[in-house]
Amino acid sequence: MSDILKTERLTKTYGKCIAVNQVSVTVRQGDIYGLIGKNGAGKTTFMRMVLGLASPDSGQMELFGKTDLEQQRKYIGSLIEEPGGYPGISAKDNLEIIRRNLGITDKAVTDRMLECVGLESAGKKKVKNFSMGMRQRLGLAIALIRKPNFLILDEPINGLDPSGIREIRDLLLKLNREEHVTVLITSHILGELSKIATRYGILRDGVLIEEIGADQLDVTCRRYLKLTVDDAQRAAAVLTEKLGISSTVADAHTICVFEKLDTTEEINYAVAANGIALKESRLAGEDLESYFMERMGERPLPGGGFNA
Amino acid sequence: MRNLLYGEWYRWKKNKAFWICLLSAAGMILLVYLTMTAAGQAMGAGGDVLQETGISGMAAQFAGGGLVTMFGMIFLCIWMVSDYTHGAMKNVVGKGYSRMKVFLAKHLFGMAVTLIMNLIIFFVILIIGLILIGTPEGDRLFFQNLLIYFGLQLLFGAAVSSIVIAICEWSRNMAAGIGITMAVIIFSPLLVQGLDLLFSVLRLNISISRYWILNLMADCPTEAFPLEFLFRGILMSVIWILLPLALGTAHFRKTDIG
Repeated sequence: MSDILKTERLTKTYGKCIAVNQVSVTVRQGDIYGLIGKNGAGKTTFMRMVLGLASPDSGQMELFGKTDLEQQRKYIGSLIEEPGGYPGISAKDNLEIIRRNLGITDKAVTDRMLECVGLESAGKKKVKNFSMGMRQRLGLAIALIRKPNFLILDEPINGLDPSGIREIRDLLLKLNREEHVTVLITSHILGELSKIATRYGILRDGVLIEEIGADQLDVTCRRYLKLTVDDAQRAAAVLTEKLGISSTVADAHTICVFEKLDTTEEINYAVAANGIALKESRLAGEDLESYFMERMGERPLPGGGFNA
Repeated sequence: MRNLLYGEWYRWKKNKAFWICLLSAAGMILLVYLTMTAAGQAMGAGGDVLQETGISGMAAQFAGGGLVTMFGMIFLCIWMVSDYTHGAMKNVVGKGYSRMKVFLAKHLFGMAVTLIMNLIIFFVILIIGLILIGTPEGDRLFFQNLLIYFGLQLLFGAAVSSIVIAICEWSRNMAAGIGITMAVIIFSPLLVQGLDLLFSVLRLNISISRYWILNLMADCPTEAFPLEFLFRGILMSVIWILLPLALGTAHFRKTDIG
């Protein structure tokens, strides 16, 4: 699998503030790479450097395995921060300007893009009268107009209603699966991101602190029932025999149950009813949100939720 | 580059600011003409101010006095800075074009559009003048001189628009861009003349106003054009087109796009 984006110790400073600190990231072909971090962690600055909107102070970058970045950026579609466009003219005219700027000969592409992002009925409406969600959709249309191989999207679902979020998610998944478009995306809605991302990078204060695959994350964040008993082997056999549940024996006194977690009462009863001393039964394992929050530098509050 | 100009062309076709600024300038010209006509009528037979001023004088008043320049430059500021205020520059930079090409296209188109605006305004000055004043005697020479005068003013106007584009690129802010541009158009000729005065007091044989484009614009004769002025005017126009272009490009290449 070839690398679409490879950065080596990419660094950007603004005065004394190090916005991006020696970030080395590899986005492979077919990835939906979720870049996660708090506000000010350096996500947008990193994306802006990849797009050539900001120049790095140090570090190297390759796009599609090549170093002639200006040329390679032709194959990138992007939506960074607020969608860019002229408010005094219609969405269609904005797309037409971009079509001409990018030298796209297919004149029907503007209508197709409006339809693709669900703006077909608002094509003639001036952008200044658009809602936040409509602007995001227009931004996506702009990003997709040149059929990019690599999409860079900064908070693309900001301002969208639930059905809009679902539409955009489905669109990204379709582009990724059917047209093999690689995606680098940020979002503060972690649950939404987890539905599409195949790999994650976690930025904290400009530093990439972890890169993790979605499969690995599933295993790490798997919830399970941890039973502490006097005889783990016997307890595991009882669960298989009585409830048809397979479990993992962690040690002589501990078993972990990964399935049917909504039937903990039945599990506990089955173990105790078969003469096994049950010392403790509790749900364990991190959920996705806790996993990310902890690494992003947020600490859990006593009553739930998180604080920086 | 051609694609970028093609995109700018479409944007211009959809832009209302151009026509608003043009109509404002034309309205202002008409108002001045009418005011002078009314003033002449009020003064009686011996005071036909408009006839005395003539079309050439009116042209010098509008073009050399900065009125034409001001409307064109306000439009230019709106045109250039709106790329930054609405984030549209992000849609072009980093899309396979070098930054130099992007800035050059924006610069050339901005200059061309203000040139078109100035040209239309000169026609308005001429047409209203011909209606209210009439064709003067020796009309062939008159039109020839007017043509040279308008040609020179268009060239000076191109240089001023190049300076304004550079100001807009460095400020990237509508209020700052328009404010600095107005300050340059209104105060810089006075400042330059003040410096000339200071140098003469210090007995230094330096005259900056001979080389500053806005002073050349104001001092441009309407007839009997001295060869030295023509040469100096053309040379300075070229310099004042290229220098801001180089400075603007350097800034555009180095600065992050917001």
